[in-house]
Amino acid sequence: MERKQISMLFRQHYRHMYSLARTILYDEQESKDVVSDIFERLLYSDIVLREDTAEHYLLTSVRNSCLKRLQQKSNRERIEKLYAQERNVMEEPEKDEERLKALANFAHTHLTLQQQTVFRLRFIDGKSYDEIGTEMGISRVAVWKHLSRLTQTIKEQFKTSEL
Amino acid sequence: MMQEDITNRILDAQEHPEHYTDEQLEEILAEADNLALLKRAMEMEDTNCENIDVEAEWAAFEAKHPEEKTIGKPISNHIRMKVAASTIGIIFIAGAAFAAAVGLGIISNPFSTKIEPKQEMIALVKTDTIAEKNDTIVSMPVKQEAKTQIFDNVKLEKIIAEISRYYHVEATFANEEAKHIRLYFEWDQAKSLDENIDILNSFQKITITRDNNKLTID
Repeated sequence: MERKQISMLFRQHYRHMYSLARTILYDEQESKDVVSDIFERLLYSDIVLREDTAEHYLLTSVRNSCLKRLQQKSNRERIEKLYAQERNVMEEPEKDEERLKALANFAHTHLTLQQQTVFRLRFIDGKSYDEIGTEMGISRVAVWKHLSRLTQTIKEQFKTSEL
Repeated sequence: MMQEDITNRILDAQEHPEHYTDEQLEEILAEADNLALLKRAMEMEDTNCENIDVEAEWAAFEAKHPEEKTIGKPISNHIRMKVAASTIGIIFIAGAAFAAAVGLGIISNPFSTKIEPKQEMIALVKTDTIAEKNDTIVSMPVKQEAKTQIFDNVKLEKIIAEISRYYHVEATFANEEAKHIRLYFEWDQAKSLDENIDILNSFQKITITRDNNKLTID
């Protein structure tokens, strides 16, 4: 593909592609590598993308590339990092994004601020129960209870709604 | 198992995965679907708030792939295919015209009962993707020194066998399913093994890694 077209596609779609990669791989560098590899393949291939389908093609490539990387991870890594299973990354990137937005919205309206903070510190920042307890001024047991409660809330919501 | 027990198991496994077997972790992962989705949702929010310097990323990409590398790259597969298709078309038309001329008695048949082709040429045959037996491998000489071999709906197992024999490397399939993937692939023998590996790796379901003379296919 012509460098000029690559440059246009890169500038138009990089942010979106990187964001999708981050929601699957979580790691900044790994996500950047995935996006970069896709553009590299395009640069050295004869693929021609139409303007109206380019975004869909690029996002689908990101999805597939990320899921391929996840296949290499062990079960231990998967539970530690809480990687999503393939079935939880919808094939249609637009629908996938909609669902995540709905879930984020639900979290903001149905989880307490403390529950949201504990969730971030534990599952996104990877902090230990003790560290979270110290940071929030609560006991380790309290941290556990917040996580337990929010897990149940989310589970109930999934049972009853379209999430 | 009660809901609370399931939750406790998820949280415990997340903190101490070493306490569980691989099979148990597999089960727990299935139970942790909802939490994993919530993590994805929060990660998306965080990323949307981040300041991503796209121009810096483009500069890094350009630095990694300077303009000189892409100048003078070999004739693209697309153009080669067009040339091949045009060549076939011209030869068929010439052949048809010749046959018509012989049939009309304009030209006497210079051949006896057997036709001896002076030039090695096999027509490209499209195969039905469903039929198991219809693998077709054809050779289309593009230049004198190196051929382009066209694999049309051929199993990856067979393609890899041909390629590894040609480049004198060993190949092992780490993934049994990958053997049965069928491809349309134009193997340009003028290209290096690494270049051809890169092309095959652009197919989403195929990962080939090279360690000197050994290829591993996933």
